[in-house]
Amino acid sequence: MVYIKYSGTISGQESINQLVEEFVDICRISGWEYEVVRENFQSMTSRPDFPEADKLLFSDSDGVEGMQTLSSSEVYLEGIMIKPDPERDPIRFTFDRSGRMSTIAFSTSDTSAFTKKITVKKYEFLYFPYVKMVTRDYDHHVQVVKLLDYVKKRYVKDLEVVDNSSYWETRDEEQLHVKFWKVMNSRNLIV
Amino acid sequence: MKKSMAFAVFMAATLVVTTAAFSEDSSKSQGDSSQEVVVKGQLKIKIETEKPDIDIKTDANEVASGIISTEESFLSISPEDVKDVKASLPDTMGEKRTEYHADLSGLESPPIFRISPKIPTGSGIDKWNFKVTDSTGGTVYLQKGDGNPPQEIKWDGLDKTGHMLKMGSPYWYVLTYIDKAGNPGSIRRETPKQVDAIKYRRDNKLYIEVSSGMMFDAKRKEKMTDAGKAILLEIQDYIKMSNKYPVNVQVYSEDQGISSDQIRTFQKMFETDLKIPKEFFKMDALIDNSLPKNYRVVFIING
Repeated sequence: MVYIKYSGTISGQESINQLVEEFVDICRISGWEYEVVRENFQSMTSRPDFPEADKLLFSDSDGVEGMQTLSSSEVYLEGIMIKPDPERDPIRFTFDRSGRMSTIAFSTSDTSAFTKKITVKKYEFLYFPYVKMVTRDYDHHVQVVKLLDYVKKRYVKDLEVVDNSSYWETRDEEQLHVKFWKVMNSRNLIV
Repeated sequence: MKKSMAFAVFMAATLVVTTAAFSEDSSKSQGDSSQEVVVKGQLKIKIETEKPDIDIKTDANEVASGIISTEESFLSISPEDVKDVKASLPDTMGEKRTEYHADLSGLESPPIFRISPKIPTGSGIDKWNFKVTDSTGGTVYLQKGDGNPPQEIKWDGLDKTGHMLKMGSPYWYVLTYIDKAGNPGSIRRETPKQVDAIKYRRDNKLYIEVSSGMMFDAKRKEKMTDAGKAILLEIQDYIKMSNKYPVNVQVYSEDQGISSDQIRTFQKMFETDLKIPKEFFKMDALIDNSLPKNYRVVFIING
């Protein structure tokens, strides 16, 4: 598996607005799908499919790398999710209230009570102070790196990238090809 | 006698020596001058001069005042004075130099944005998008294309519906592009552009729009500011020069009463300063509820 993990901080709301605006334009002229993200706890509980009686439960932070426990009021995310190819992982540039690049994952689970007449729905969220994504092939990986280059140059000056193919550091296209070739081969062996 | 003879001989000898020495110098100088070359002619130097734009301003009242004073002095002549016409003539006739307000030069005019994008890319541009946004973040103008953008991109201030930009409201542009190698980029105007007074032509009419914020006091909304008076002076001069009536004045504010009060201020000023009856102006008190706010005064002059 080839993945890229990135983190950093953007300076101010105005910069987030500009980043979103520019990527919306880039997506439109490139014909990419995108989704503007602007979510907070208040708006989520007010949605009709989230009954008021249901509670958001905090996830257990033990054992998961980089995970933190947050107050519900901090469940806030703003930015954009770009999907150059619907078949591949989207590229997220989303930020929390302090401007830190982050992602929030939600999950729901139903628990039947003793009487089996009552079902308790649980909404859990996981907050990550970074974005991690799997790249499927050479082109996808290069595309993500190009967008990250732009974000680092214009918006997130302290962007840190962990690229397990080392392409971010080396820009060695041959090495990246070999990396994906090995990944594909190992998948085929497993199958 | 001997003494005088000796003196004569000495003088003659001295004369001979001096003549010989002079003739030697003279021959030398003649020899030198024969080597000099004197060239006569004209040196032609081409100097190009740049003539600056001349900003001439005039006040029609000042132009007329000299003639009026002359006429008045003639009309005031008594029948006795007419006998001696020479004595009754004035010494001077309107010699005062005047200023000229010809072109409403203090006002903005389209285009509002004119950019020559210099995009640092080796592979060329694949697609681009030029967008003008207002203070709400809404897009008021959009231009896009494939390949390299034109050398100059202009926005004439008109929105999608053909309305002029809002007076006193900030506008930004952003040129977004993606090059052929897939690298995104953008050129953005960081500081907003705000226009408080603009002139433009449409349907053979001159439109002048001025923001209410510039024209009127923030608290006493019927009272004109100094900046407003200065602009109105220029507009008045233009109206006098064009001499095409009626002039349509539209006053937009948040309230009909405020618009009416502001119209009364204009009527008073036009009647006092222009000496033109109010019937020559068609004034409309209007309300503007759009967002961003666009409280303004629009002068529409024919021709």
